[in-house]
Amino acid sequence: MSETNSAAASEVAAPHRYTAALAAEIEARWQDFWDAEGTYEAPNPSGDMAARNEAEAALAAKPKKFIMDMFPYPSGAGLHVGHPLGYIATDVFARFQRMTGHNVLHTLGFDAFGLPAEQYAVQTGTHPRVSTEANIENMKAQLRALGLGHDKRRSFATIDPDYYKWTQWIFVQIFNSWYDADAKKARPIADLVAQFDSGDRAVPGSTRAWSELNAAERADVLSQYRLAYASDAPVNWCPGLGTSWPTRRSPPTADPSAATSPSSRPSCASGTCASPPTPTACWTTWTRWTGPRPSSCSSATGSAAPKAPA
Amino acid sequence: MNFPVGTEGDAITVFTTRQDTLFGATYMVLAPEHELVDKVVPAAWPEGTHEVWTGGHATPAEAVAKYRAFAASKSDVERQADAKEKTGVFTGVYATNPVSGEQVPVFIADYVLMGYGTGAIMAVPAHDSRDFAFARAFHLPMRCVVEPSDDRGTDTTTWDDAFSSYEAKLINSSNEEVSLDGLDVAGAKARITGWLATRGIGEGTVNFRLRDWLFSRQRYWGEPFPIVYDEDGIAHALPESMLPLELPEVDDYSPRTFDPDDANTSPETPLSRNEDWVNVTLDLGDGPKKYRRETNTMPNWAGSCWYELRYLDPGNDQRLVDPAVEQYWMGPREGQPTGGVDLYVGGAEHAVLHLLYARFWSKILFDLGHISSAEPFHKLYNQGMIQAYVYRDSRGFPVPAAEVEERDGKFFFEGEPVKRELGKMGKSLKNAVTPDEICDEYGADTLRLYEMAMGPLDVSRPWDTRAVVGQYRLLQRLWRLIVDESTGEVTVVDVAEADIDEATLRALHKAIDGVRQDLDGLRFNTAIAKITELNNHLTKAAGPVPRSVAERLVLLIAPLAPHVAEELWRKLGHTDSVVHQDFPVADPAFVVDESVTCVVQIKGKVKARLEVSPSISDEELEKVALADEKVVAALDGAGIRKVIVRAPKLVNIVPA
Repeated sequence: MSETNSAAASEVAAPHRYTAALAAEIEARWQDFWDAEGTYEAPNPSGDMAARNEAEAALAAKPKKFIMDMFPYPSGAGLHVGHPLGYIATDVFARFQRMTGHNVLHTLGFDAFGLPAEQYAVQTGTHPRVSTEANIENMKAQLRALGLGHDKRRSFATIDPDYYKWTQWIFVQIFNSWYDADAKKARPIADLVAQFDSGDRAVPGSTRAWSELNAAERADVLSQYRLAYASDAPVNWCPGLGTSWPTRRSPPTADPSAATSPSSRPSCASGTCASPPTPTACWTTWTRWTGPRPSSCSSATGSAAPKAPA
Repeated sequence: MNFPVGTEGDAITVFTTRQDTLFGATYMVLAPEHELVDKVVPAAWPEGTHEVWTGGHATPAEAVAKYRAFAASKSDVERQADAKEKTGVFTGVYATNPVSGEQVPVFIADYVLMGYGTGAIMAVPAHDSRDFAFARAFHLPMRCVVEPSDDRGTDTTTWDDAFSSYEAKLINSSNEEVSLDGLDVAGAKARITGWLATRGIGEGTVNFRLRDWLFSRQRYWGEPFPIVYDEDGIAHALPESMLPLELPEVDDYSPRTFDPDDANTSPETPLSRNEDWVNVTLDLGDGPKKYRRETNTMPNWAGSCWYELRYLDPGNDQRLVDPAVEQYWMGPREGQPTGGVDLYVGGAEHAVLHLLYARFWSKILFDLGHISSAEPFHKLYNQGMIQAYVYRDSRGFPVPAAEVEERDGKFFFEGEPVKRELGKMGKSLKNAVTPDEICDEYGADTLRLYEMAMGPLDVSRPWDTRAVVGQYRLLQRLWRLIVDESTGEVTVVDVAEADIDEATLRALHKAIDGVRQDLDGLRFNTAIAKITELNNHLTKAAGPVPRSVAERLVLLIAPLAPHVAEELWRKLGHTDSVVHQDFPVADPAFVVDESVTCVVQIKGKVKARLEVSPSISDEELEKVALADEKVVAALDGAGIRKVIVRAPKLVNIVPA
């Protein structure tokens, strides 16, 4: 009691003390100010984000610093104090760089495709986009309250069609590329077609010329070179869950709460997750740069964990 | 590296990541199918062959044939799954350990696969758990060559498992030409690799353990593939004009499930049920034709493979990224020949897959000329994790951490004793603390300072809500230095720099110098300590603070506590934001200590402490030390044999 009284008394004696209430008032006011002024907006050298005034032109003339966090998945649980550790650290660093003569790009987007939203959708019928966007708004409010100096114009979510248009576009680039072991780089598949066509490169596994192959045969040949290719790869297939999953992972679980409970490992109804790996039409990309691509992609999903070399 | 075997100059080639333990290789294992086996197997068991090694067979050839038949009956998966039960058989032949010259028995065993590495291993049972289990089962010798850092000692016969940590020093590892003893693992690897290379016995190599990346999922909530199949089943990419291919609506988001035991089923994807979407007529350049869409979606990882590029030019709907913009933010430059994001911070748990995939996409885009940076990230930093105490009741269930009481070092929940352990923070562990709670109680600036002050950024640290108040008090003292708590008036005084007392200038410039270096090096905890020190100095000085000192203090803390810094900056009379102000620069004249304490030892015991200039010379310091009263008294007339001087901090006198 006495403690409370003396604390209250000193509040009266010191109406301008830095208290939680004053901090809250100051923080809300400056967060509004920063948003209104675009304080953290970093100008680009050209284009729609080029400098809009003299101050921004001066900023764009400075050396750049691009500082980035691994972006979050917008979980429905929101943030706990462990999550922003890195975001605060990069913010402090970015602010220091701004004060030492740099044009600083610091922002944060959302990695928003993912299983939790889909499982929530299966359970509740809520479209994953609806729940995901609500989670993003919630998380944005939590992050804003920390005073992070992000260029908010540059934020996006990976589920935005404007964004995944380019994810798809890059996939097409990968699909339309092959690895030239002589040049040690990825090249357009059209270059390879030209080599086959001119006879500079022999058609593998065939004594016939490229011009003698039909469309399906050509597609098969090119499929052996593409950096993303479709093939029947053995995947771990679990009929009880209706899903397959990639190499060396635990089977998925139908019950999202089970995943967080240490005592219940995900399992299929029968306890063993099915059947040997089942050939299934799969898209695979080729991450290897050091040797020839194997003719079958079974190594992509090899379920054995070989002995690591001693 | 090569282990000579047999009489015809053959050698068993192995790939290893633990070449530092080569002196501990006491046997070898070949995959049963290894081609050398038939060549080297002798007609009879060598004299003294342990009966456990022979599997009860009359000759090595018979043993090998039987074991091969046994191994062939199992798939690779089973061979790996049966890892606990070690099987194998001696081939009857010995190889030579190239570094110790010892004869080591060669086994075949199914825990070594032909399709992995070279299909042969050198076994170091003391330092590899699988080799350890095998060696125990077959009574094979072990040699400890890495000194255990725990308390088990070096006698392997008393061990329950292998010691495989890298945090230790090498022992029992020398021959006439090379010694690894006393080196750490990394140092030993380098030395033995060099020795093997010069002797032509082995060579260093980088083995990429990369596999192709399975990139499709039978899920709804992912990017649809921009791929269609024609009536011949040939895959075609959609042209850019047809992108984005948006996710269609579906009635049911879940994949179809089947009888769990029915293996003769295959995945049915959610997208495949929207027939109108799947079957389309498109003109891909040779007139309208019927196509069927790919109905898998991309994995979670796809969207994070290139997001750094979108930040640069987020509104661009014409191209991936404007080349001039990409070059400005990410292009190569001096000191960054491959370009990339200057600093990328995240958890170590993403260190492998996300970074591998992101680099893969980035390298293709670079090769095809779409971007100028050969690498996406110039510098990666893995921050530590904030841990939290988990309290569990007698059944092991977590109880709400906030309601646990501590009495005499023990913990109770609703009167019942509970156990405390350090773990992760999370809702399910009932120990989550939200930033919103801490902001309500103290403010965001306090939360920021506390998180940054908890320890070095790369080290995991336990959260302690009760300790947060320490940073709150720092901000209260900072505020009080500048603002009168009863009137709200700013109390700073205008004083010419020359009139500020020297002690304050020294404290100020030392802080500026230290904080600048710390912030640049991501050492935020020590930066806060230095700001606290300056703040305390000014509090103790008790007079009104000179305006120029207060302003620099505010600028120092601005990156860490930006809201209170903005407010104080405004109160100090500025109309602009603190965000783009220049960070203070230290005056070197005030950074150097005016004196340092020099310790004078006689026969290793401290006899005197001297205050001397940091730039004092060895000769001068020796003179001052020998003339010091306490030193003269301690020597008591004894002659001097030697004086060792390490200016400015140490003088060591050896009397005659």
